Parts: sequence; C-alpha cells; structure tokens
Amino acid sequence: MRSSHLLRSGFPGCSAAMLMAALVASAAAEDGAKMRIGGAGWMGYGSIMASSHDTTGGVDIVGKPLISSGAQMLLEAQPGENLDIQAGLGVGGGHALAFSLQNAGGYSPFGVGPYVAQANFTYHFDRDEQGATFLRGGLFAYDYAKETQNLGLYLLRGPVYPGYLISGFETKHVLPVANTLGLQFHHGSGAFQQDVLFQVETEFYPFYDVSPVYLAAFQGEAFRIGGGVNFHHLIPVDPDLTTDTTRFRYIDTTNPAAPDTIQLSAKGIKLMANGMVDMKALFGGMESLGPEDLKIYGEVGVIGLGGLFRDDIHLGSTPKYKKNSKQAYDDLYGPISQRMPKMIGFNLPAFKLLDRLAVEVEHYGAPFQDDITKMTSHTSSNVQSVMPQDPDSAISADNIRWSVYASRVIQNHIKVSLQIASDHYRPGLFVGYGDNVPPSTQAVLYRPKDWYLMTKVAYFF
Amino acid sequence: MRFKNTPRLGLLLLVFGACLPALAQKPEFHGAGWMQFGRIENSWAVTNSPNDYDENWIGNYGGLLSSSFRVDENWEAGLGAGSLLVHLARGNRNEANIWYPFWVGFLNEARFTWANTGYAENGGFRLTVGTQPYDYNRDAKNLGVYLLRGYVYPGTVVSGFADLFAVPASRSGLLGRIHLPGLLNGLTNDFMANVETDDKPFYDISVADVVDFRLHSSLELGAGVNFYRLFAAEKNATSPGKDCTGRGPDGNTGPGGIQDSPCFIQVPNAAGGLDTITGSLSGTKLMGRFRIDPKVWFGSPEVFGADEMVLYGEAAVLGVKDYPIFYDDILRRIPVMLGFNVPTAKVLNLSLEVEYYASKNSSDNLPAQNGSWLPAALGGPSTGRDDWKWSVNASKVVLGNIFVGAQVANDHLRLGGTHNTATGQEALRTLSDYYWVVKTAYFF
Repeated sequence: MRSSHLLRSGFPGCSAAMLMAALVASAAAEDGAKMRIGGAGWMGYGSIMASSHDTTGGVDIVGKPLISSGAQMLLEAQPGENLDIQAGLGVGGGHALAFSLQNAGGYSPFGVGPYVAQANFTYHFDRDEQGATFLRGGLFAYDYAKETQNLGLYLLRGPVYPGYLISGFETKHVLPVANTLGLQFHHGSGAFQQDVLFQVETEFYPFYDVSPVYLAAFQGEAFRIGGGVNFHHLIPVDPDLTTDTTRFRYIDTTNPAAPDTIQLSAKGIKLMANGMVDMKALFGGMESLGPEDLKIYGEVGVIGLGGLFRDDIHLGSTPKYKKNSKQAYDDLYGPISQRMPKMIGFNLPAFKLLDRLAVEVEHYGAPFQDDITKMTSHTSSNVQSVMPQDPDSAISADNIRWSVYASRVIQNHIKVSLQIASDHYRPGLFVGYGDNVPPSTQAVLYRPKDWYLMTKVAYFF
Repeated sequence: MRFKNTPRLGLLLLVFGACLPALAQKPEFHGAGWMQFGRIENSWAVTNSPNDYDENWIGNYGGLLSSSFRVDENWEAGLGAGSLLVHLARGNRNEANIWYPFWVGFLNEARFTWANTGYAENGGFRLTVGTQPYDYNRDAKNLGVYLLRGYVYPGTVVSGFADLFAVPASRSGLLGRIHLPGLLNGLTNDFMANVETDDKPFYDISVADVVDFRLHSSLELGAGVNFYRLFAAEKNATSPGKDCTGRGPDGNTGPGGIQDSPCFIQVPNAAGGLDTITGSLSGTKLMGRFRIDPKVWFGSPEVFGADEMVLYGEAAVLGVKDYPIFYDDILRRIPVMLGFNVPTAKVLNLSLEVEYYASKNSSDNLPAQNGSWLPAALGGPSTGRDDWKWSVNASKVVLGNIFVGAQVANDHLRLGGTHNTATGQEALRTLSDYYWVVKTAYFF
C-alpha cells in the first residue's frame, strides 16, 4: 500500500474524505488481504395492540402501524495476520407513533437516517483454540448475553441515575451492529472469558463521558455464569456537567428547620450477574431439538449503589459536609431493592421449526415513571438531568414486563422474526410539525396487559 | 462474498444506483473507521456567552465505504459514502442541556473518469465528472488551500481540524476535471468546474484551473485561478444589487457610519450625497505555491522519510477587484502560509505551519453563508490579533493500516455555534487561543 500518500494527506483537517482519498489511491488493501463483503436489508411492520396510554384529547396509539425499513453494507478485511478491520454503513428508516388525529392528521412522518454499522479494528495478540487476547477499538458490537433477545443486558444499556431500562424489538444491542463506541480488551483462556471496556457515552446526557466496565464469565458448552461491574461515567469529559452542582441537587427536608442539600451526579455503579443453562445437555442432547432450544437464562442487575454507603458529600469549596445521602437516593430512585431489575428467559422447544422461541419475563420495581424524555430532550425548556420524572402514579403496575420472540432463517439468507411484548418500548410520540420538542420517549406500555406486535423480514448475505 | 462473485456485485451496483457493463478488472473495495476528539483549551469568546467555546470538546466518530470499478482501460467509476457521529458546539455550560450528538451521512465520492491513455501513473488526458476528493496542495495539513476553500467576498479563510461533516470544501460539488500530465515534462494541469453545495447561494458554478510544474526533483511550483461563482444559478442571489433579503452584517458600519445594508455599500460623493456600490459574492481568486525538497541536494539520505525536510508555501489573492471600505486594499486580501516537515528520521510525520492574513474584516462567515457579499459586523477581539495562525501536526501509520495523529493549532476553526445560536465566528481569534485534537483511523 502506498501509505506515503496517506501520510501526505497526513492529518489533513483530518477529514474523512481526505483520508479516504488516500486510501482509495493506495493500492487497495493489498491484493493479498483477505476481504469479505456482506449486506442486509429489512422491512418491519408492527402495531400497538393494547395500551393504557392516556386518551385525553383524542389520543389513541392503539392500532397505529409502525413501519421500519433499512439496508446496510459491511466490509471486513484482514490486512495483516493479527489485524482485522470492519467498516460498514447503514441507512434506517422509521417513525414515531402518531399522537392523535388532531395532530398532523394522525400520522407521523417517516424519517430516514444514516448510521455506522461497524467501524472498528481488532488487534489480536493471540488467537488459538485455547483462547484469544485482543484489543478492539472504534464502533463495534458487544453483547455479553447472546441468548437475550429483548429484556436484560442491564449492565451496558441505559443510564444509572435515573435507572431507566432499555429494551424493545431487535434493538441494536442484540444485533450484530455497532452498539458501543470505545475500546475493548478481551482475554479468554479456555472456559474463562473476561473483558475490560472503555465505553464512550453517546446515548444519554452528559455525552462522551467514559465508563470503564469489567465483565467476566465462565462459558461451557452447556452453561455460562458471569458478572460485571460498570463504573458509569467514571471519567467525565466535563466534570461540571457530570456532577452539576447547580442542577443535580436534592433537598432533604426531613428536618424542615434545617433542609439538607445532597449533591447528585450522573456517575454511578452498576452491577450485573447472569447465567445460562442448556437443558438439552442434561438429557445428553436431543436430535429433534435445535441448538437454542431448552436454554434457560437469566440476569440480575443493580442500577446504582448511591446511598448504600455513608458518603462524604462535598458541597462548595468549604466546608466539606459529611452527610448521609441514603435519603436522597432512596427518595428519588427507590431503595436498593427497587433498583434491581431481574429477568429470566427460556427458549421453548421449537423442534427446528423455529431457530428460537424465547419467552422472557422481567421484574423491576423502580418507583418513577418509565419516561426517558428528560434524558433525551434537548430544548432549552427541557433540562437534561439525573432527576427522574415524576413518581409513578401506579408504582407497581409496570413492574412486570414480558416478551415472546420467535425467529427463523430460511434458505440461509432470509430471517423472519416476530415479537409480542410488554416491555420498555419507547417509539416516541409525534405531536405535530409545529412542535419543537423532539418526539418524547416515554414507555407506552404501562401494564402487563399492554402489548405490541412486531414482525420483520431481513435478507442478508 | 468474494469479489469474483459478479452476480452479487451487480446487486451491489444496483444498491449504489450505478449500472455498469461487464467489468474489465475486479473492483477495489476500501473501508475506514475513525475516532477523533479534542478540546478547545482557550477561546476568545466572552465568558458565559452562549457560544463560549472555552473547554469545549470537539470530535467525531464514523466510518465510510468506497469502491472503484475499472470498466475497461479507459473508463473507471468510483463510489463512496460515509456516516459520522457529530455534535454542534456545547458552548457555554449553561447551554449544555441542548447539546447532543447526531448522525450525519455524507457522499465521499461519486464519479466516473475517462482516460484517453489508460490509468498509468503518467497518463495523458483524463476527464472526471461527479464528486471526488481533490487537493492541489498535498503537503498542506491544515492551513492553505485557499484557492478552493472559502469565499472571495468576504474573504473568510477556511481551515481547521473540524470541518463539521468531514467534507473538505476543496472537493465538494466537483463537476468536471481535466487532467493533463505530460503536456510538458513535469507539467500537470487541472481544469474544473465546481458546483457550490456548501454555502448559499447554492448551485453556482465556479471555474478553476490549477497548474503544477516540477522544475526539478527538488522544486515544484504551482499556480491557479478560480473564477468563483462565475455562473450564478440565481443572479439576484449571487449579486443582490440593492434589493435583497439575505441576512446582512447586522448593523455593520464602515467609516462614516454609512453601512446599513447586507447588499450594498454607500459612500459619500463629491456632491455631498451618497453613492451606492453594489457587489457580488462572485470574484476571482489567484494562487501560487511552491514545494522545496532540500534532501535531494544531499542525495536524499535514506534516514529521512520521503516528505521530511520539505518546505512548502502558498499565497493567494482573495478577490482582484477592489470595493470601497471593506475591500479597498488588496494586500489585506492576501493570505500567506508556510509549512515545514520536520525531520524525524521516519519516526513520525511532523509538520509546522504558519499563516499571515491581515484582513481587518470580521472573520464571521455566517452572513456569507446566507448570501451576503459583505463582512459581518466587527465584534470581539481586535482583528489585528488574529493575523497570525499556526498549526503543529503529527501523524504516523502503524501496523500498516492504523493511522494515529494529533494536531495542536490556532487556526480558522469554526464550530458553527451551539444548537440555538448559529455563528460563523472563528473559535480562535487571539494569540493565546488554541485547541488540540487526536485521531485514530483504521483503514483498508
């Protein structure tokens, strides 16, 4: 490769285009380099089948179609013995839920946007049958519990304060597309696998903070047991935003005569433990079953340890107050027991008629509304904050979530999937063109009896 | 899928909207990804103003795909597209709640090329139509490339690390290019017609010509002319006359307080009245540059890399026509840059660049982006404090396919303002202003 051309363009305003110009001019990833190209397209259709959403003002989200479509391409190259590079682009289309007939005629516009499907390098220090050690960087896919189809993955999805959970139908977190920006150090030796991640925040305010994460697992043929810890936003790019001393405050009025101010932060610690058992192995395998059948799996997380220990709270420069923040965290986010989501899943026997037929159930007792708008809105009137939305009016009504997922690959190149679920789906509500606020992102399924149906056909090579 | 699988390749072409006959050679595919971030350590902006850039993080993350197809010995086509995660400036911390990243797609390349003598290194005549990267000054890492970047009136210069969408102005909307190497030994001529797609008014066509002449293996000279916006898509927008609705200089006043319109200048006449001077965004740019490689004089010792010790420079005239008040001194319309590739014995590529540009007009190009040929109102630090710009750039390719680099600079970086407060102001306008940025890119 004529890398000198690249060097001349140097760091040229470091534009991607110039970089690519250098790459294109260079002799092509060397003819000897291993390279593969892949692509995929899909179309999805679904609908909210039942919802307890407030119908005041003619709002009716039940029965409205939810359409999605997209395509992506991926190149994978192995330019050196120890180096892998992936680059892929995609364009996805979809829309928010129409709010009511009074707003934009009861429909919402279909939006199309680009994304990076993969953009990463992997440098292998070793990769043999006994294990692997590598460093990966860029935008890449990471999934520590591949059985999970919808609920779970608490360690890496969603913020800590407030402890909103993320789920839905085939989100990027369960698909082989980039869901992580940062670095991954992986080490595997036999059944033992461990990862250190440095995850850059791109989903929730404050952005670009770095979260160090450690995960470890023993992975056998018929079981996996693992755990992890996420030091969420531990390395802030701007400490004044991550620990905002003017807005992230809790006033403890337990003693009205001397109200106590507790400093809060977007920083927090998540813990996770998960496991999987392949029941087939207990019976010595069953020819009539598919490889995913009869697997039972589960996960439990702790979303935030704040207030669990007596904290030294530093307010202002002096003096340094020593306060117990338990009251603040418990009041805002619930006691630690309410910050522990738990899920269990089971792949029903599908006898090779389906590749996967998964039933998942989750319990999460968070006392605040499942409305993430405050974390994602970005208008002057909606301050992005660690303070949760108002307390849930029916605190326990949405504690139980459930999901049924089925999929099958046909002719090796067509995947058909379907999901019915009552989960944390947040399609956004389109209020109308005159609304300057981005589609709000509250969960629209409030009770276990609320549910949606989603289907998708994907074609890939 | 392997490349030799032509039926699927056909599908790929279809995806890109290109139909080509049977290919004479295998297509080439390339991909890249990158992570880039940095911080403005010091900015002139008023503390606590919405666009206070102090300690603002800058960066983007993305990927792109590109491929080229050799149809036969004469015809070739190239396609490339990318997407990146970017953000507008955070601005003052009080504005941070409206700060968020978002995805942007961009077209890197979409062109076909015809070469009369094939694609050998010194082929003869080539015609390229479409969009493609183009850079006449391969040494410039940051400053320079005046001929094809930025406006003429107002003469706002463009540089910086963070072209917001990672698309350099030097290549946008390239309509046609004729490449004439070999006409004289060492002579290359590029003629091009650029369609304006970056700045309002859109779709004007600029006609430019760039000549490079290698007098000796140690000396290269270049020159060019750009008839900027020679063909206006909408004459009233490009040359607004006395009636316009474009955003103007917002109370910009020249000597005597007579400037009150974004469209024209009024100057006192001998009769005691005012003469109205109308103008245009169109104008003529001239450029000259040189490249000296003193290593050649000493036998090009192998201890040095190919570009080390190279001294390069460029100067340009941003508009040959004078207008009163704002454009009355051609010497203040001539940016000059000088760069030097520091010898590092192949350890890395290290460049120093410095620029002098004595314009006393505002460097805010927002009015120009909205169609005004007059500079914005003066504000902020004295314009004399931003005459000098500098940049230090270091980079290296490791493992053959991973690019790492860094830049520290006080240049013409423009962040565009925050989400709610757009501006074309430069982020760095005093000598103490600077930013740093690092990048890693992985490519094949």
